[in-house]
Amino acid sequence: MRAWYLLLLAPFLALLYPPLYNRSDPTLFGMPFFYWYQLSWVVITAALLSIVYLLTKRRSL
Amino acid sequence: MTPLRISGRTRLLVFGGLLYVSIAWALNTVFVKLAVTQIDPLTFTLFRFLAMTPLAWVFVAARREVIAIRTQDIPELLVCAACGYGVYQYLWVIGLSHTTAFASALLGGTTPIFTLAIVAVFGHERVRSGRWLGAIVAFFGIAIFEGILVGRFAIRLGDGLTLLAAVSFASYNVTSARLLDRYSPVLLLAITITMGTMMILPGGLWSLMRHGIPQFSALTTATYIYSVIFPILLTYPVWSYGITRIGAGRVALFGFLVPVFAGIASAFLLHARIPHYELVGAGVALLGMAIAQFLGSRSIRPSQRTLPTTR
Repeated sequence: MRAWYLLLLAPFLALLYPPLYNRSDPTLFGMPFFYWYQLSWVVITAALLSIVYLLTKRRSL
Repeated sequence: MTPLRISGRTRLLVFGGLLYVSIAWALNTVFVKLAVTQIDPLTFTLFRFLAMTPLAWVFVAARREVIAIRTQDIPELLVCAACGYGVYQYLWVIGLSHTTAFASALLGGTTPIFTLAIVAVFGHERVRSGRWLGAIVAFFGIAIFEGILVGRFAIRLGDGLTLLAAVSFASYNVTSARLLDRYSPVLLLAITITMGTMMILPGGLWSLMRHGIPQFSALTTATYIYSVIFPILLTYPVWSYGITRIGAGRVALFGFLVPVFAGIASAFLLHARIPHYELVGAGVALLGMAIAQFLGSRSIRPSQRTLPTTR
């Protein structure tokens, strides 16, 4: 498996263990950590998927 | 896909693997049931799918598949994602929170019957009478399960939602069958699960805002991790391997064991009490599904590459 595929493991691992992020602090613009942490990973996952997609596409051409 | 000739030892290995998959799926229903007694079902589903989505892509990457999505397929992919994940998960998990794990596993197991009905109604394929006979027996079994013979027939809310979830997943089977001509099963799973998660997101966020930050006990965390990893990563490869070795028809029979194991597991783990009429009804329903499977095995293009339900 190519090394950059491992990028996709990051969101999975970051969200796999809820006690890690199941708390209110630190807040961001008044939003509890729990919420902004998860929502950030939605965005980060989309970004990582795009990166992997572009790399896959480029190499398969 | 013609099943390969295999030795007795390999056959034993395949059967053992499929038995493991049936148990793992049954336990998933029981564990999710356990979790949704402590956390709101929609919140729990959101957590699960946020972690499962990247995992599905890891699976795609591990198989070194090329990610390519045709623009003209997007509407069909969205419908497929809604049927298989977006709408399905709302119906299934809310249904599960209002019924028993055993009922959920049994009623969810009727998906092939609804798939049959859909392909027949839309004229996609000719369905043999043997399959219809099986479908009638299966639905009679469900009527017994719902208490028709003991004078208390009423489709409970949770059971009704689970049956609708089965209809939704049957629609997924039909729509995905067309897409599987252009996409591999694993890539289709990853694409539709991603789109499905986007559909789960509004309901999950609404639930989060309404109920606040959930408390994860050690047990809930364990059930959550199980329900993220097992339904796809640790079972799907075994199921697929089974299909390549002994064929989709025989592999599908192991699906009938899921409600049986779910009933046993819920009795032990959730101390669920299963009335006699439910056991009789489940037996008749499973018999009907088995009849439909055997008597019409050549009437329908079995989705040899269709993915199992991601509950």
